[in-house]
Amino acid sequence: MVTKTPVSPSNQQVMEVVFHPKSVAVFGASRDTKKESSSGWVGRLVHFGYKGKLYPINPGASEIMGLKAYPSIKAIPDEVDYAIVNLPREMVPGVVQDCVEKGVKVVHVYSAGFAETGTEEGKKLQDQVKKAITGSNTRLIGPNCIGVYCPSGGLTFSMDSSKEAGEIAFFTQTGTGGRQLVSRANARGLRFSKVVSYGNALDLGVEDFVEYSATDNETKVILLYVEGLKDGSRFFEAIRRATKVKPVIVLAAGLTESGAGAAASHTASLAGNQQVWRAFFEQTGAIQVEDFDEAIEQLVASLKIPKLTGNKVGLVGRGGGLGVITSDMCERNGLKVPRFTQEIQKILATLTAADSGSTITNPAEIGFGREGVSKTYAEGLRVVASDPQIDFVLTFLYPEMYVVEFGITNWVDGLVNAFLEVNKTMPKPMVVAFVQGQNADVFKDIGLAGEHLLRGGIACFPTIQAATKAVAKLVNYYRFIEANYE
Amino acid sequence: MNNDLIKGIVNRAKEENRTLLTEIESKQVIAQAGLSVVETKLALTQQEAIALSKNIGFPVVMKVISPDIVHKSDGGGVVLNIKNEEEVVAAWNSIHAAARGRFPKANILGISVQKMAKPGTEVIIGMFTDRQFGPVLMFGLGGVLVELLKDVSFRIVPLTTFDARTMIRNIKGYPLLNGYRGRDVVNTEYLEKWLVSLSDFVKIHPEIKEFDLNPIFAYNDGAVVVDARVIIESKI
Repeated sequence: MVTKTPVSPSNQQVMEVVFHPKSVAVFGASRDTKKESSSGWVGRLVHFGYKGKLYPINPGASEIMGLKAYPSIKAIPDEVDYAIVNLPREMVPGVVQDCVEKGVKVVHVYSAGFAETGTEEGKKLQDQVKKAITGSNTRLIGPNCIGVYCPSGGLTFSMDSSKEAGEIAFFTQTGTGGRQLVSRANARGLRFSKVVSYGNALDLGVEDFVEYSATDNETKVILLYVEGLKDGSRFFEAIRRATKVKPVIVLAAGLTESGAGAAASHTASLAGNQQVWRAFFEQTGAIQVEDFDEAIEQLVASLKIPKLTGNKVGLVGRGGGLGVITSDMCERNGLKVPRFTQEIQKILATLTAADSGSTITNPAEIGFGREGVSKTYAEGLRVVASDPQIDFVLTFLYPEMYVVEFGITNWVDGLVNAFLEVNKTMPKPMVVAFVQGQNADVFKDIGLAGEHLLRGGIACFPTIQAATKAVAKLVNYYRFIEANYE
Repeated sequence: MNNDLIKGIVNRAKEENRTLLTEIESKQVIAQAGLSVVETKLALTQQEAIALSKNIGFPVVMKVISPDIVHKSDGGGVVLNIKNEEEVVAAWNSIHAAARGRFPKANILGISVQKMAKPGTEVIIGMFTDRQFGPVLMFGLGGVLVELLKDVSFRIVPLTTFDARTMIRNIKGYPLLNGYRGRDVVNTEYLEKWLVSLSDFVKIHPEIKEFDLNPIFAYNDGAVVVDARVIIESKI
């Protein structure tokens, strides 16, 4: 008998199947159409508009949601690229073995109850799954994970994720947190290229996904949530390569695994977990965030702010106290707020009311008044941006004051359009930050305005603090790249 | 690089059930990474110590060599600035007396003799193996106060020259290397090269689990490893 030695597919080839499978089989599809349609994997893919071939597997059904159902994977006459396994854990090793024999390229095990439980039974089952794929060309995502969300490939793990593709790749160990982040980021106006919740990472892990997305043209920013690493050295190298070409944001949680353990040398006794992770960030240039809130703000900054050349910010906004606080926040986060040049101040003076006592040194207090983003205000933004010392402009707005004091309603469209118009002729990057109040309607409107601005290509933040922190970290990233590689 | 020499030292230590290499062994290993070390030789007798001292040239330093004594300087086990034959004899006697007094059960292999290095700015370069990221290098101000001051920085292997440069500049005491208040400027580029060499070295020698090169005397035209302690994997 002639046996053909199978050539293992490259990471690139595996990832093409992960994100754009031509056919998907679903183990554990329900005969109950209503149930499958509202909460099953077949339902999810159908509603999301998956364009490839879909094969529900259920030995007790001939048809599920109008699709022909099969009793087993082997009963499917055609090739199957991708299989989703949603079965009791005891059945998983067996069906994964079947998938291997069928030649399925990628298996996503949604089922939980494996090594993550810490039980002997769970670990044993996971080992059996591992054994099933070892030596084969079948690759596995999971177990214990919600898998892939990729709008361009028609895959989703959630009924409410946007069908529109974006430029963010997001890889996460946690499924619940991952889904939550996607849904919140969607609401802010952010869109994703590729998302994977990879759970126990029995086979495919964050290292594989990062290596792929570093060179993926559909991805401009990478976000990672990691708890533990299978191969720290490979992860380190993969991130180092990725940051050279695009920002990588890392939320590293529960980092107690690192460190040296018992110490026989001064070095080991001085080396804590925190120091090693600090070295990791200092060497790779990856942007560290502490939680999902900050992760979203950092995504906004990294995706919507054009490359920053420095840390000097020109501030534009009304309210003396607010200006001082904003300057302080900028400085605390490592940004600089230089005084505008005499020449710039002279021009700014012509834009402000002569008797108002407005500041024009930086911040520039220019009216965002009854008329919203007025011509004067727009001009002020451009003048500030033209100061040769300034690298970018940050403008802060307090809409509640105009709503409450001047009775202005329906301010969102006017403001958004005006900003989009200004942005066309801004010579330098512009960042918008809102100041929140306590009026629920204004809060909602700020959210709406932020979403529209973001969709129009302007980085917009719900608070000044969020803006300064995220922008400062982005500045540091570009500085790192410049110092290290340019 | 003489890998057989390293293999020989590591195997001997394993046979003797040791993970800690002696100072002499540690320096031989570290010299293979391309670092200059203060050469150290073992004297088994007083006569050997005298002969070695004359050969190396005064002034010399003598240190107790025992697998049971880790912190040699703590118990009178180190004598510096020995200028002649009489002082060698005195040092020989005082080191033995101190070791017997303080560590009565210690197995004394002999006394090492080395050239007294020209004083320089003391720095430390260390390595340990992180459970997630593998070998990690450390740089800091050296000497006996290392663990007290904790003025150190870390870099995961492999290091680029950029990593080596920023890790040196990251420590609070960096001005001390850069001519603070009229001090000698240390040639930090030289140390950067060492860090990169050590990074390459530990990458191909996973049997080395930890080391302290402490102190290193750093000068404006180079540096020298004055003391070294290498720890190897217990079972490979």
